[in-house]
Amino acid sequence: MRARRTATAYAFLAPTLIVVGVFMVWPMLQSLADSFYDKSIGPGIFVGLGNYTKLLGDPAFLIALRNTVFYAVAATPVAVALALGLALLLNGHVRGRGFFRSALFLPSVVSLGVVAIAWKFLLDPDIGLVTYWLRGLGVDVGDGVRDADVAMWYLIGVGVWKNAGFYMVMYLAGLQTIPRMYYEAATIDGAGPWQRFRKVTWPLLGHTTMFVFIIAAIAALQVFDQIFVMTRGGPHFATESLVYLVYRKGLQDFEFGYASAIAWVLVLIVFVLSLAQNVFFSRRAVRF
Amino acid sequence: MKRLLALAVVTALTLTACGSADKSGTSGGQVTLTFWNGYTGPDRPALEGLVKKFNDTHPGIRIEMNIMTWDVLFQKLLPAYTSGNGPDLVAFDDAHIGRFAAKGVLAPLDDWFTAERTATLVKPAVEATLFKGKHYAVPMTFTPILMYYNKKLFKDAGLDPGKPPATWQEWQSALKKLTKDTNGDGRPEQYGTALPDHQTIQVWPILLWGNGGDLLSLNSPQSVQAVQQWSDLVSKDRISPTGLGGADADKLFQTGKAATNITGPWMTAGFKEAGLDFGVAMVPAGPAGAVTLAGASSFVLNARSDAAKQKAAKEWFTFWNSKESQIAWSNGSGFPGVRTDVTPDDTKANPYVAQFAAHSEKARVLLPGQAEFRKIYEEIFEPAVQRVTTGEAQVQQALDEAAKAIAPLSGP
Amino acid sequence: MRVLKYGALLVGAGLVLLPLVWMVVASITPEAAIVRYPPSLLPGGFTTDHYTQIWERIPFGRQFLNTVVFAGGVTAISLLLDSLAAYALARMDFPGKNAVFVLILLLLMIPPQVTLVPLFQLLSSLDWINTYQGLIVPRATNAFGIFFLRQYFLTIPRELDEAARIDGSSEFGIYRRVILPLSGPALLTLGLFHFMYNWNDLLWPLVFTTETDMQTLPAGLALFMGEHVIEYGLLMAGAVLTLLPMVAAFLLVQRRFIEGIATTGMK
Repeated sequence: MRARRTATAYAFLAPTLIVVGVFMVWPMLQSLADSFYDKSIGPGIFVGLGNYTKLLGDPAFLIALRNTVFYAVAATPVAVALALGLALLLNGHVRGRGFFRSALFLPSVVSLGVVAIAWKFLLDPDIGLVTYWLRGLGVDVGDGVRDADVAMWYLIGVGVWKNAGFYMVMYLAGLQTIPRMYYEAATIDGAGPWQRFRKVTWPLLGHTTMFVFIIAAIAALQVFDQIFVMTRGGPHFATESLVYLVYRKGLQDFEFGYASAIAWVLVLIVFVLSLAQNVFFSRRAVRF
Repeated sequence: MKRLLALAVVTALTLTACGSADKSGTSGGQVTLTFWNGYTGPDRPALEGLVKKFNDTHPGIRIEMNIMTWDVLFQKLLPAYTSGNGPDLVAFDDAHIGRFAAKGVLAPLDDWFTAERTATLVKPAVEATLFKGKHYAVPMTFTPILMYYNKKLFKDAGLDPGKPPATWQEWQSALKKLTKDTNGDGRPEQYGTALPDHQTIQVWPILLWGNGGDLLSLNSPQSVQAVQQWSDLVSKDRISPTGLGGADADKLFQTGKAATNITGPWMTAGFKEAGLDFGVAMVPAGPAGAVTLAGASSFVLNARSDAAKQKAAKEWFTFWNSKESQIAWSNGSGFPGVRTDVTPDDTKANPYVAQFAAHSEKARVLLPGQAEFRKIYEEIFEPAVQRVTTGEAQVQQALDEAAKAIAPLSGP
Repeated sequence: MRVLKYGALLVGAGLVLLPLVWMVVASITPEAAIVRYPPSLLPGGFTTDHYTQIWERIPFGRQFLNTVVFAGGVTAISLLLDSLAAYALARMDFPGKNAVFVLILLLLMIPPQVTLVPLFQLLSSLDWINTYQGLIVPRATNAFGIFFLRQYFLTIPRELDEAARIDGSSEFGIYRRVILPLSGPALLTLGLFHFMYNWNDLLWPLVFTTETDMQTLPAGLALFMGEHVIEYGLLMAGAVLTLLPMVAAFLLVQRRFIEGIATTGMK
């Protein structure tokens, strides 16, 4: 009986496991194996942990790591906070609610690869429409997206633009699961809007926040598209992310072994971060 | 978990083993050559026209062309070669020949280069196909990169639009006059030029060469002096913005925000359509003489192609490099050809061709035969230029470091 | 307060829509007038050329069809496989369950760039480059989808299964007649995610197809982003045409979409 149930369960899982095994796990193991080789084309030379130790002394890797962490640390909370704010605004009675929700979600529907071209055009420090308007308002943007010191902020802005609407929808969904009576009870107890948010909304959104935070952080750690279109990792590597470095080392320099090692470090970072967030939020989230 | 992985791996292996079928391009006496290139722009119809003509006149051979952007082409090419799915023919910039020849994926083509053929071709174009003494490519196209200038902006600045600057001295003083900060905010409303520093046809090497410097001797006094002079003009006199890609530079020139722009013949059509009143002239001569960059591309052949394909490919090379084909290519694309015997009369249909062709012999190919061209140029030189033009590094120090990084990467 | 609220919303919506409006404007502006100074959001002329030329410059109809087949195929197959796997993980007990679940969570975190080259070599040796199966099959299941549906299936009361089981229903019968009918909004939501993601994906179809006739639209449009010459008008016309079905799909299911996520609950 037990054996039959197990067989049935694996029958349900079989198609998935075959696809996952052949097209994800196998190439993953291949790339993990590659990361122990000095490999370009052909079989390569086994170097053990050589690629990993080389990473620690490679300025390109350290810069990309710093950039990626900077991007994720800045973009994740901004996108999540903005999404929460918008969701709170658009959960109540607002004229044109459907329009605003759709408009804010729209960026999630478009290809970042194409829309980043539009952003690059609009943000050009000399002839871009947005910078032109800002100059008209007396705001000097300097070299803008071409300035190594601030270019990353532009990429963060475009990333937030792309994703905030998606996270907002997640929050809207979360808000709908909070029973109205909690608010009514809180109001009777004399709680103002801020207190209602602090005592009811925020704790009850714990799970949603955890989920959104994790997917936002994973997306941020894998940032690539707008970098590829808008800066190519420049000026002088100031905006090069880890995924961009993997792309450059793997698909431009064809150092497959080294690129695989970088990728696996990224996998490890994402993994540890997900675990940490899980622990952090599961302690704080309130169940009801 | 372990068993699962083992199962997955075994399944994958079996699938791989029975799935790989030999895909031969030769069937029924017909040879099919796959041909990848990145001619997505206005030059595409001319290339397509010639391929069609070749297919029509060579009944035993069919060229199947795949056009993609250069980025995509380069990221796919080596994985495709190594997995056996590589194209038979590829056309790409000469700078990449060494890079792929060094990986052993290209077929040597020495037997195509008879003395008679070589004599009709532009010399630097032929030399650029060499890697370690062997030809791994056949010239496809060759053009000098020239200076475009906006005649109206020249007039407004009190310069003679009929007499563009011919020396560095004239050029530099013109650039300063053409740079205008009308509202005094420290950011020019009009730039003398637009010097791109990444993702572009390579302009900075022209400035090195003009002063007798070179990428492979980056910390020589000539190289340092050239970079010092031009980066000062950028950072102090603000003759150009920094951090430009090639497309950004073209946009600045097209909008009249930059008065000059150094680029290839592919921009003539777009600028004309935009109603720009512009001229083209040789890049002004530096202290070491008049020199410019060659925008040169060649055909390469897959090392794994069989004898029938190799033969067919060589027929295509010969067809392409015939005088008739070269004239058709020039008139259609605006590129001067790789032959020395095409006259301005032949290319009357596109008057810019002769203007570019006139300077072919002053054009140099960038880092020919260097396997690590991309790293040397994009990962070391360009970032160094970006640092010095934005004042983040001193010229001498930045170039010393760059030269040190380049040394182990550069071949003989 | 009201003014502040609407002001913020309007400014926000304006900013969000700005690049999209610009894309539409660029697509109907003659190429030579798109790049101009001073810049403006008003079209610098009017032309429908880009919308007619795009059909000649790339096999737009064919690539549109490819995109439908690819995004639609992945969505349909993935919904089926995801839901089967999610059912086993949410409703059944069997040895190795936790290991499978951890494996799936792990896969969620792998950036696609990691496996791109080995996968390319695998598909090459299968001779699957430039085929629909090469595009679709490796994506026939999705870690996020399994995770998402598992969370949803967990919220469906167990009593329903038991009742069906007493009536003699098999596991597959429960999956098909009890769970699936109750999962409409979640499947719809996930289906939209899958469809959107694959519809817009650039890197995947770009790497696994080499022939123009097998490419999807985002990959086809990349052709207008040449190294030397970017043809903004054509690119934006193509982008607008690619975007329209997505916007239509979203507007159509907008209301049920948010419900779908709400019922899934992310908990």
